[in-house]
Amino acid sequence: MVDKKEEGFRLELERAQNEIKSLKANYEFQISSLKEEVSFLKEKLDAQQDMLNMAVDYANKLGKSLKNLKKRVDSSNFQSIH
Amino acid sequence: MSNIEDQIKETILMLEEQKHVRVSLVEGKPIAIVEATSSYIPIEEFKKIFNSIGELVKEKNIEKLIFDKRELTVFHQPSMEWYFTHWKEEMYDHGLKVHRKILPDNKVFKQSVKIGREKIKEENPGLKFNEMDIQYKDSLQEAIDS
Repeated sequence: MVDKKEEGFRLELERAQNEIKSLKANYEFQISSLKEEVSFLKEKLDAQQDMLNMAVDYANKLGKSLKNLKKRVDSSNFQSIH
Repeated sequence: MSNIEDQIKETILMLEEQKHVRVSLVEGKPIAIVEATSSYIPIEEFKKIFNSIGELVKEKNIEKLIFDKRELTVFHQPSMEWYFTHWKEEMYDHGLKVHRKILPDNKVFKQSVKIGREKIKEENPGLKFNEMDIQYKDSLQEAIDS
């Protein structure tokens, strides 16, 4: 009777330990996937920021070039062809 | 849905599907297609992907590479620099001299590609990519035909 109880208890313990192992593995897998996703998103956001900065720099350069061109046109004596 | 499935006259043979790209061959032609399947490819993954495509270029004597970037939303200059100054240079020596690109319908992305490419050209005037046939196309069929 005692042996049967002990055996049942041992099996129950084993089952609980296996469940803990499986939960732990699942948790670790989820954490690892989450870390991977966060790292991907971080790199993507940084790249997006760089891309936008590059476009803004380019637009600023164009703006400056246009201003300079306008200055040159305004300060020059252009003769009308008419 | 894959862009490759869109109305193509040729038979496209899918070789492998990775996390960020799908790699295919055009049957009977020395053409490989790399189709981006995610919005962004991290640089280390990008290098791994193209190093493996490099093996394909050597093994199958690929002469033209079509890089379909329509799924991408983010342009990454360091990846582009590596692609131009390392990968394309090495592949040139293996016979890959024709590159066709399909860009996403995104003005900032397109402008960034243009600025990035000019920057690389300015900083690397001696590179062989200046001698390559590089064109931008709107569809896969146009990229295959041209």
